[in-house]
Amino acid sequence: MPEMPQLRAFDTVSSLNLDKKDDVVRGSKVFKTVLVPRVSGRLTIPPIQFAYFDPVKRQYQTAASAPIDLDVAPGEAGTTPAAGPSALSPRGVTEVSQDLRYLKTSARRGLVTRALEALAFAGLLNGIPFLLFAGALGLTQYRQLALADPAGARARGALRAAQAKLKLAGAAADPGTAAALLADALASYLADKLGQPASGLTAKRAQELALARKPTAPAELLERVKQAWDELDMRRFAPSSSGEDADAAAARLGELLERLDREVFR
Amino acid sequence: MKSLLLICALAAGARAQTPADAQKKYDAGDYTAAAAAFGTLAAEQPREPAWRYDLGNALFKAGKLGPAIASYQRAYELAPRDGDTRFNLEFALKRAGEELVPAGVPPLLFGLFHLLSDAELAGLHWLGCWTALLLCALWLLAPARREGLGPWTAGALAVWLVAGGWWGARRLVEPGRLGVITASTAELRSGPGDGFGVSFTVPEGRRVEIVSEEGAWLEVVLPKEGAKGFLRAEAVETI
Repeated sequence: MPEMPQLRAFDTVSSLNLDKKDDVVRGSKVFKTVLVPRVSGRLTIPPIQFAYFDPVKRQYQTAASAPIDLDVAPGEAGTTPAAGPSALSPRGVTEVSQDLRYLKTSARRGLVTRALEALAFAGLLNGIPFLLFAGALGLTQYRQLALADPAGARARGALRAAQAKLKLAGAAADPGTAAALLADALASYLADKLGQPASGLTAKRAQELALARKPTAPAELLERVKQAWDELDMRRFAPSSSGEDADAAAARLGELLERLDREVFR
Repeated sequence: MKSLLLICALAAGARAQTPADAQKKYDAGDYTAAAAAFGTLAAEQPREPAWRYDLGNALFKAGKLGPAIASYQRAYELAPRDGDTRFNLEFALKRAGEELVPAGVPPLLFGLFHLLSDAELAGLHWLGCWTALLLCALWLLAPARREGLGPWTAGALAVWLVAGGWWGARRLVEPGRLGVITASTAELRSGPGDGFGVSFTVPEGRRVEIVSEEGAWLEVVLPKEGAKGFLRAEAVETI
C-alpha cells in the first residue's frame, strides 16, 4: 500500500482461492484493507501497484489501479471518537501529514529593515561620516597649533582679517566709518604680520620692521605703504577731502596688502 | 539555471501581475502559471522576500524542487527571522536529503548567527559607523560636552564593532557563492569536461558552494559530504 497519511489503514484477513485441474493451477487472492479518513475534504487514494510474473511474456509486470478521489464530509460535532484512553482525558495535536506553509499575500518588510537596507546600499554616501570626522580632526589640530603659536596664527590670519574689514569698508554707507575701517585694516595687517600691537604702530616703524624682516623688500613697495597710511589718515580725519569712493580705495588697498603678503611677508 | 530562464521567459511574457492574481492561480492548482506570476513580482521587487517565498511554494508544488529551494534560499537570506520561510526551506531541503542547520552546529547558535540578514547587518554596521564618527567629531569639536557624549560615543562604537565583526564573520564562514542543483540528477566529474570520470551523482535540490568557473563548468563543493568536483553550469542555479 502506498503511503496515505490522511487515511488510517486496517488490513483484514485475505482470502485465497486455488483451483488445480489438469496440472494447471489457477486461483485468486483477495486483499481487503479498510481505509478510515483521518481528515475531511478531497482525498486521493494513489495508484496501488501489484507486481506479478507473466508466464506468457516470461517477465515480471506491474499492474496499477487508477487513483481514486474521495470527498469526505466533516463529522458532526461530538461524533469524533476520542483519541486517548478516556473521553475525558486531554487530547493532543495529531500530525496527519506535513506540507508547505501557505503563501504570503502581501509584502511584509518592516520600516527598520527598509531603513537598514537603505543604509547598506547607500554606496559612496557612507563615506560622508569619515570626511566629517577627518574635517573635525583637522580643525582640532589647527586649533591646537594656533594655541601653541599665537603669533604665528595671528600672522597667518592677518590677510584674511584685513580683507574682511576691506569688504565692510567697501559696503559702508558712511564715509567716516569706511575710512576708519580702511585705516584699521592696514594698521592691523601690519601689526599682525610684524607681531606688534596695532595701537602703537606708526608707518615709519612698520617700514623699519618690515625691512628688518626682509632686507630685500622693494623700497618702492614700502614707500607705497607709507603713502597709503598717510592717505588713510587724511581720509579718516577729513573724509570729504578725498575724491575717491570707499569701494575703489578698498580695492586699491587690497591689492597693496596682497603684494605685501607675496613680496615681504611670505 | 534552465528553470530560472524558463521562469524569466514566462515572466517576461506575462502582463503586470498582482499578488491576488498569482494567489488565485496557486489556489486553482495551476502552479506553473502561479510560478510565472510570482516570478514577475519577484523580478519587480527583488528585495521583497514574500514573493521569493511564494515563488518557492509554486515551484515546489509544480514539482521543481531545485528552483524552489533556490527561491526559498533567497527569501531566507532576505528575511532569516521569518518562521514560514525557514519551515518551507527546511521542508524542501529534507526532500533533497539536506538539513538547513549543518551537522554539529547547535541550532540556537545557528539561529543567532542568522538572526539578521546580510543587508540588515551591513546597515547596522553603517548606522554604528555614522553615529560613532559623528559623535567622535562632536567630541573633538566641543570639549565642554565631552563628559555627556562619552557613553553615547562608546555605545555607538560598540554597535559599529559588533555589527562589523558579525558581518565579517559571516563573510568568512559562509560560502562566497551558493548554488542549487536544478537538474534531476547532476554528475559531479573530476574535471571540467565530459572526458573526466563521474565521481558522484548529486540529486536535485542539493545546495553546493561554487568555487570557480571553467567555461561551461562550475567547480563546486558539497558542504555536507566534503566532495569537490565539476558540474555543468546549466545544472546549477546560482543564488
